[in-house]
Amino acid sequence: MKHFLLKASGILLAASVIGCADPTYDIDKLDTAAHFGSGDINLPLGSTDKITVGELIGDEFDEWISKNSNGTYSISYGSDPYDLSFAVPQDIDRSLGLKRYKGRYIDIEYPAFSKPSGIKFDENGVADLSSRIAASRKIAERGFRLPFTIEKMPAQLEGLSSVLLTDDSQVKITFSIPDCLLTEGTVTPDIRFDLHELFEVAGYPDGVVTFNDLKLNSSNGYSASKVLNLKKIVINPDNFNRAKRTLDINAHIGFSGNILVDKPKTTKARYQETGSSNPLIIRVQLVNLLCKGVEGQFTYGVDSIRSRLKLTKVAQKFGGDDTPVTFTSPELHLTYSSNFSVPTRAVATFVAQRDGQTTAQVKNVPFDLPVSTNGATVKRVYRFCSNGKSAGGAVGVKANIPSLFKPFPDIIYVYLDIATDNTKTGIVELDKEYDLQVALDISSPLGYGPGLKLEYSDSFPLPTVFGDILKENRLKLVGDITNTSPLKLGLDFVMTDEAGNQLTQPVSQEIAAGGTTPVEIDFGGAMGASAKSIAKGVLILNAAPASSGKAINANDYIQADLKIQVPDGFYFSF
Amino acid sequence: MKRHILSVAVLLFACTLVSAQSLRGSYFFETSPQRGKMNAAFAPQVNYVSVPLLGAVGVETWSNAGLGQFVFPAGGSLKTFMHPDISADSFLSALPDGDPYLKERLEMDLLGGGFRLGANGFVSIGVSVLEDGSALVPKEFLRFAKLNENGSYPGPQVSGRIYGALSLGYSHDLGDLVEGLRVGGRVKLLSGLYAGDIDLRKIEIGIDAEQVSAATEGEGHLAGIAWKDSHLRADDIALRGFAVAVDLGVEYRLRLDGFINGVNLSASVNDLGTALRFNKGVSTLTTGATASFTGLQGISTNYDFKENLQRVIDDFSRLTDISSAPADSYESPVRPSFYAGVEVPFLNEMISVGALYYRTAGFNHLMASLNLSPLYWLNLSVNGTFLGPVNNYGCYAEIIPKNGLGLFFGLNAASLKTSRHHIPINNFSESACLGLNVVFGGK
Repeated sequence: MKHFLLKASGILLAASVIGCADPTYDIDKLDTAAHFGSGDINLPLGSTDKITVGELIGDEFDEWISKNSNGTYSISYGSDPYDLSFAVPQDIDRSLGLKRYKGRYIDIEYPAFSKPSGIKFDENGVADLSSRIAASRKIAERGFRLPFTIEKMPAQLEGLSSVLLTDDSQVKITFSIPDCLLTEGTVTPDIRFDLHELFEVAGYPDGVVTFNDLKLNSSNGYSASKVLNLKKIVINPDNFNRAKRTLDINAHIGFSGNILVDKPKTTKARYQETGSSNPLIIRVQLVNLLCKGVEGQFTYGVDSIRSRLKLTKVAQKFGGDDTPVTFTSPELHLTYSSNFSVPTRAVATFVAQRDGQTTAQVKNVPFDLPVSTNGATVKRVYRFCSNGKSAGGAVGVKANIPSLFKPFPDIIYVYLDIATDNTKTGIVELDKEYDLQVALDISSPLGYGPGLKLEYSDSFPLPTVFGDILKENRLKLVGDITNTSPLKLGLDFVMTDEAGNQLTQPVSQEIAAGGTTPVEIDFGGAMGASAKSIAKGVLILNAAPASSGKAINANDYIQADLKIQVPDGFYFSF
Repeated sequence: MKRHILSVAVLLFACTLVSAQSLRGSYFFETSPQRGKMNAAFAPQVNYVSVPLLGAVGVETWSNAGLGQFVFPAGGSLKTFMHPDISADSFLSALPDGDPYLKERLEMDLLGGGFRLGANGFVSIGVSVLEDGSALVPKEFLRFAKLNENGSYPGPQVSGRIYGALSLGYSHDLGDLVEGLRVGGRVKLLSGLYAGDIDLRKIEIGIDAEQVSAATEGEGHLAGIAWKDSHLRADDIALRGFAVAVDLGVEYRLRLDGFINGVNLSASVNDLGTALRFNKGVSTLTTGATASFTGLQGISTNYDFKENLQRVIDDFSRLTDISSAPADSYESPVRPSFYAGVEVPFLNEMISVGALYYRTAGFNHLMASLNLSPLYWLNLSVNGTFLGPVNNYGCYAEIIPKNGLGLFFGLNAASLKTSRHHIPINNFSESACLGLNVVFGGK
């Protein structure tokens, strides 16, 4: 029994310590591949600031390149102002042929009232004549003519409208009743004075002056005057003899109206002293009548100028065929300032030269110059451009200026012929100094050129986990890149080792101009062991040549918002 | 090399954990000195003095999961649960009901002995070192590892401690009072040497196209170990904490005539006392940080990628930063255990069958044992244990002469199915014990 138990015990003990090794669980055959994520894993990567074109270009420019307030760049290159010459005629007859009237006057006499008889004086020796003198007496229309001839009119005068008088040119009208019977009461000349055939009177545009505010009485000795300021001599253009440079004038000046008498009284003594008639004398006296200027149609050849814009420095920098920038819609600006009051026209011709050879011309571009209306200086900027549109306060003049820049010239000559427009009326003042000035400059927004080789390259360290991921995973960059510039961009990304040796094929992505482009940069499948050497990413940004001609704007920007996508999750090994 | 990480990890646990389970094979052998550790009333029929350091060495490890829950044979190779070929259903359905854990325990008698005292008494004394540890990985965390769903998850927990025990026991035969009745008690003075635990309470993870975010929150304790410069460094051995515990036991042996020689009943409660309170060299550990990455912002032409990337990496690195601060004390619980056994010997007590219910470490167990003593000096048993985290089977052998060198050896294993490298494939419980004692004065 004991032997049996001993044997049984041994068998039980052995059975209990012997396990069963399952060959399918062989740790040596453990596949350490692992996977994280049940689907695509999307992780944030980052977003850039707005990387502006201005940052890429920098802020250091040549003095003739300027950055405008709207962010565009312009070349601005000008010439010195050019003073135009204009010969003012000096031999004109300033006295206007009126010398013979100087210091003289013209009297016109009307009977005002008669001395009544049989009047009774009161105890004070005063007689009321109201019943004996008519309160109103009509006077017949009368007048006179002033014949004279103005000589030595300007030779350039094609037609005459008026002769301007100096500011102190006046006519003085005096009404008086000499040795007047009356000692009390007023006499009011209600007279219509018609000057319109001869003078333009200040304040009386129709040339007719009515006097009804002058009161003749004992306090003024029954005499009162009024002075009229004269502006122009009104002429009949037909009387202008251009050949003789003379103007004949024979103008009529007329009077008509009433003489009003109010509350007339006289004294006995006065009654005895005066004669029987009491005439109203109207005295017309010309004062300081001198010519100030002439209004009419003139034919002046003001000046012909040749100015040049020397663009040698610009041409040296951007004149080549592979220039990185172009001059988009170049404009030539002409700034004209003048106090000339004769309508004037100009004709411009532009000649571009390169190395002494004419490369392009734009001929005979006419444009009107501004007229000073009151002698003040007027200024106008002209914008010679292909579309001729006015902009920014500058008056547009259509001219094929862009043709002057193909090829880029080293000099542009501007020929300017300025002459008066004899179809329009203007004024030449004899004592005025006329200042006419012309300044030229070229202004052109800078655009991207056909040879643009804009390339922005930057390298940045990549964390080692990036290589770990790429070792066994496919990786994508997804997101949006906004590009507000007109440049169609190409984006290349490549990964390198620490020494800069390229480990991956460049991955390219096109970025559309002026908008937001969805981005999906696929780095491809798992790289294997080489991924462990990944240390840097190199980003290369290229501008596509198709962007040529578009304006450069410093405010244009590129902004990226990118995420990492690991399709179907992470694969890794223990 | 990495291929062996898993196997090495499991083997390490398996090798460092051996203990009481196998020793329980001695419970029904009247002559065994070892069984007194389970019931203070038990008194062997010999006096003994343990061989220093070799009196009893036991190691035990158990887990509710095995290799088969984490790696799967497929396509001619073995694949981890994170392999893309392994479906989430396959992995999640293979996990145990509770959170997977791994526990281990090591016990070594440095010195010990037992002597009869008078006609009815038996005194035992012992100095031993004990070590236990556990690691737990929540199922929710494993679910995240497989499915990668954003959310908040509890993280792993790890704990361990080493402490010494000085015990003095006395067993007395009350046969004069009640025939077959014996009672005993043992007083233990526990002294903490080293301890540590950390509980990563929360791991919060969010991954989407707009943001990658993570947050951690955890707390732990150390005693006798310093956390410095991201490394653990053990201080010199010292007594840093104390606890007092008592073991109480009772045995009743009913003698019968006939084929069945009697019925032996026994019950005990052990380690009834205070928590092990460390109060020297104690520090608290805290970990917790939040990090998020919404992408590198404001990249410009002069952007410093290196600096900004490093900042992100630093942010996320802080998630695992652990900081340490001195603390006054740290209590490590001492869990009582309970034993109740019944044995029926027959054939002149050369054979017996026994059933032992016991509760340790929060688990209930029921062990059935067939015990053979074909010779006076030889004890052999085979046993099976049920109800616990895993059913297991074991054997026990002991040579115990009346005078001379006594030797015992025990093994228990739950999973007979192992990998080629002897790693249990399913949930397992492995334990072993052995010891040498000089015995004398046998009756």
